[in-house]
Amino acid sequence: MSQGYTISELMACVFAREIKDGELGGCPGVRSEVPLASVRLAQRMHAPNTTCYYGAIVYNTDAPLSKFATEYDRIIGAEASVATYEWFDTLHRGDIDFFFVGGMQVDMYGNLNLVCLGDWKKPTLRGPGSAGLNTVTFARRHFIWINEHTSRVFVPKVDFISCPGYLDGPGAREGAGLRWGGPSIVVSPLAVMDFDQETKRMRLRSVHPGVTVDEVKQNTGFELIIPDSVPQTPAPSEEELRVLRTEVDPAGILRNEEPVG
Amino acid sequence: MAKVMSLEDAISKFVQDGSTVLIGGTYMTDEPVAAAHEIIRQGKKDLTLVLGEAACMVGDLLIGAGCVKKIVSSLLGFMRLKPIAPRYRRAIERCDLEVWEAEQNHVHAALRAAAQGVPFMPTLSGVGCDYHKVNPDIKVLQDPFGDRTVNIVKAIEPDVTIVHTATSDDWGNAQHGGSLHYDILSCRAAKKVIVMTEQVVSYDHIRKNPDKTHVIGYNVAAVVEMPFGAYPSEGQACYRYDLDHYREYLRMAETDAGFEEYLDKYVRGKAHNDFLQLAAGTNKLLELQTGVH
Repeated sequence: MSQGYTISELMACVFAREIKDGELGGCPGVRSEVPLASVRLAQRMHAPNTTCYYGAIVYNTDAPLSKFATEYDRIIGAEASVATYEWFDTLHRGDIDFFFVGGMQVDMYGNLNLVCLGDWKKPTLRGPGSAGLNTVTFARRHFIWINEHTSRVFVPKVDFISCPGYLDGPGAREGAGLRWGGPSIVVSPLAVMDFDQETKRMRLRSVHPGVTVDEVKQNTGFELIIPDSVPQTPAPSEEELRVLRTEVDPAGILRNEEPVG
Repeated sequence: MAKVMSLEDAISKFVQDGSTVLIGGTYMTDEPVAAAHEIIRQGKKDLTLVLGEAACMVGDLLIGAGCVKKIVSSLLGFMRLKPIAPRYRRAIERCDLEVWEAEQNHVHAALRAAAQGVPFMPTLSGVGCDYHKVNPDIKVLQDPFGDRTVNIVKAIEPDVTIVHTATSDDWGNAQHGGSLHYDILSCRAAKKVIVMTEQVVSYDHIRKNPDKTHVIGYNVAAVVEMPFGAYPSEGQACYRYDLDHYREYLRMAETDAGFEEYLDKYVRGKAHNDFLQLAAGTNKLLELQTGVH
């Protein structure tokens, strides 16, 4: 087995390590390979009692990882299939521990934008729309995963808040009426970031193997908090890779890109 | 009362210029594509199009063909094939389309309000976000009983909801082949429902599994039997989606001229069977059914 792993495999391992046993977590229905792989990896490594809510319709499905899973594919072998709007209720009640979300832009407070670039009335780029990914902020915490780490994506302030992070800083979520939650980590192809407790600003937590701190700084459109010493993101262990490749992703969906490590 | 009718009759009777029309399904599953083609052929205009989930091809076709004045939706994209639907994007960037900007659950809340007969519905979705700044039907409300903050969303009652199902009886008691999307809510909130079904079955057949009937005949105005009516999307329990055709659409819909060419090639002056033969052919259709039943 090759030790060379891909960014998607590394991301899946990083997220899996954040998941605690017994949690109820959710994966979105689109671009779901990394989230789904991470929950399934966690379930097999250290969190067997974790429940995975997937695509807003099913609990703990066996549907294989796929870039093009259909609705029907997803419900086969699931523990339960529910009407879409039920997942919003479950999120709003605060019953969901973690959820994954992405965006076209992310800012220093972890706010996300899937709606538009530029002025909403006459956008320079119209995005897909926010889908259900605003409600994700009612999970106890959410994980942000971003496939492009550039200053185009990591901007000082998003053009439209479609999913709130810490808004404009300490106390802002509470002031707006958000009682819990917020982004816990951001994982990009270059690094792992978290949020400083005091300022609620994004902070570099680790750089991926082969990436320098300077590279991350240069590709981020705002000032990241950089601790005195920045460790390397732990590479996937042999056991993590074995479970990923033989049990979670035997078809190699996450491997279908250039290996980096 | 005869509800079983042709698609042409159903659209001409129940979709008027200026109607609020809700299209069921999710992404590339159970999209009532044949109905969208018929709406285009009949040249309906000024529609308020409500997409419960994200009926991507149907939404993009209707917008591109100029049938839609206002879009009520939280997302229009073709999943991994193209995250942003091309005609939708173009129309908004040209300021040719009114957008009811919302998070998915705002659409749900508007429909729940209509389904319950109340003027608006509170929800936690949108709290802390920008939706209420650009959408006059979403407001921020302080909890009159406590200290919470919520969004309230004005009810939306579709004049007609169009759904695709695996089976239906001739009264419109219809059963899905799998996931329900949020077609239940879409039907309860609507004044009338058009059921486009793969197969009209007997009343007794439906009564064998009443727990699977989620579209209920009482407000169904038309039942249209249309095999492969959701093609190229997935018809749950009947056929898989045809990614090749979606790709062809996305290639052509990239430009104004290409989109017009697509409509001429597959929609204008074509019956649904013509479209199926041109776009897929019998062998491909059989292949899409493989392994589903």
